[in-house]
Amino acid sequence: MTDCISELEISLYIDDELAPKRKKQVEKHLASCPECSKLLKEYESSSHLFDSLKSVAPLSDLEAEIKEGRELKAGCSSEKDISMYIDGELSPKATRALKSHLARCDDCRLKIEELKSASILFRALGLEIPSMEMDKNIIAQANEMLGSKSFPAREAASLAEFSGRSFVFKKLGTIAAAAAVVGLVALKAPVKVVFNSFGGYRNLPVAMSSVGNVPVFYAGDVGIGKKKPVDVPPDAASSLDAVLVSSQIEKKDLKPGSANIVLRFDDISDLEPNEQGKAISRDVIDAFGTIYKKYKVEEVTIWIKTKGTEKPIGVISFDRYGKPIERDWQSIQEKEFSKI
Amino acid sequence: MRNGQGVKSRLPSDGSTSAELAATVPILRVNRNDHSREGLTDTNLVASLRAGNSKAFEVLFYRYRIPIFNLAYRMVGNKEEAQDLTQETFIKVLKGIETYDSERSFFSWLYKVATNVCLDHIRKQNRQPKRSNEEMSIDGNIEVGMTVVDSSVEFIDRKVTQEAVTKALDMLPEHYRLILILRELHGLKYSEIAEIMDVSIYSVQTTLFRARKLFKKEYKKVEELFND
Repeated sequence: MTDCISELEISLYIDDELAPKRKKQVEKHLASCPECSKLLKEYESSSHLFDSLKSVAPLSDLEAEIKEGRELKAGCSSEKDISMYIDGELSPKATRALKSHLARCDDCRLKIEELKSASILFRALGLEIPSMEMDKNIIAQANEMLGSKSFPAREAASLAEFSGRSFVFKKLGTIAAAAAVVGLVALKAPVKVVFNSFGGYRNLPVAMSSVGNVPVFYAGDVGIGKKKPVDVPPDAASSLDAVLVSSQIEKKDLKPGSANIVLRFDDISDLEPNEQGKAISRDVIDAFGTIYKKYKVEEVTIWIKTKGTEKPIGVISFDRYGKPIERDWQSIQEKEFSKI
Repeated sequence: MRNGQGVKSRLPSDGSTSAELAATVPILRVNRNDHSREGLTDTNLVASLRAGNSKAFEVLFYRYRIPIFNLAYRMVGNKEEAQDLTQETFIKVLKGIETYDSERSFFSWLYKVATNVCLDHIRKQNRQPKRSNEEMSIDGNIEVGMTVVDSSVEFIDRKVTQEAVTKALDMLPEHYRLILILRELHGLKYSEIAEIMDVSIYSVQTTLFRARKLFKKEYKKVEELFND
């Protein structure tokens, strides 16, 4: 007998939303599985409450709303439309209609804020970091599976920077090594953080992983601040840079004992230099604080990556509260950002 | 919002909610477009991996390990299990790397495998995720995203909200939980979700809005419990 049917598929089956092939499989399974048949009956019995509303044609939004048992004021948007609207998935025409409706309808505006507030709740969830143990196991198992097949020289060249670096990573004496969340005690490496940053939003999330032996911070700006200097497409506003980017930093240039942070200005190169500085300084400072507290970094070397090249521009230390020394940051901004 | 009341009033009431939401992007969205300069696109890496290059696997692994792990963790609620599921996912992906349909993006296929691994796992156990107590400790992911100057009040606010959201999510049927995770935490578009879950976009629309409604309901219940 094939695997039992998920509740979702039962729901879809009732709505006749399954692909024909899958539908046949489901029916075949239902014929021989009492549990799934029972589940189907349960779903169907609640569906029956809306039988009188069933139609042969696909459900319009209005019918779907009635089916959900909600009363609509004439012209008001269905909750489903609102749900799609806040996800940016409503058609342009429907979006325009909804927006003009919103101008006149308090109820719908309220509904939108309610749904959005639920979405914002999810932002409270942080990032979990898996253990290095897991990484080791997975890589080891993968290597075993891949055996010792040789690979073309082309791949070797482009991936060379990920292999076999050894670095030194210094931690503060006062903070207990045991407090290191991701086992950095065992690692000795300068840490590189690559930012994709152009906005002013606070609470920059920072998480840490590693590529090969090199720890990499995942960090990123999460959007556009109030002063929106540039129209950045939503895709560019992504918040994680998942891979160590530069192949241009020489090993000798990485300062031992400090974390290296690369700021990418590619996305804001259209801005005036002092606007650039302002645009990123807030969330960079926030991120430094997070990095300091979480990874016990003593000082940070800032690199700038712009127009494809990277260069170090200065060092920032932290005070004993884990705040970056503003003075350091200011002088870097003054010195460097005008050159961009 | 610093009123020390835990889950209530997390948001300013002056209408700036929209701006705040517009300014946020789910923290697990992987930037997949950014690696072309180094030639390390997913496509190139998959090709390289098919040729047996273990370094390619490593890059792909480290690129996606956090999102996949977090997906598993939010689904099953337990770090150890989530790690096992993450391992299972990546190994399955590696096993299938020769044969997967390369018309489809690697990312969407990876997510699909991860999703199925999680759902299968949940199906085999009872429905409720087993949350271990350690997950609610002070140290750990809660620090992520905190500002440099965090008052203890804001700190507690956030921790309580985390717990409440987690509890509410756990009460949902796994498919609702999944779709909320994919949409809200991973920032996937409807078309991507549809591809991953193997359903129509219409189903995504409907399921998502139902999931949101149910989530709100469960969240309110949890809020009430907290405020007792």
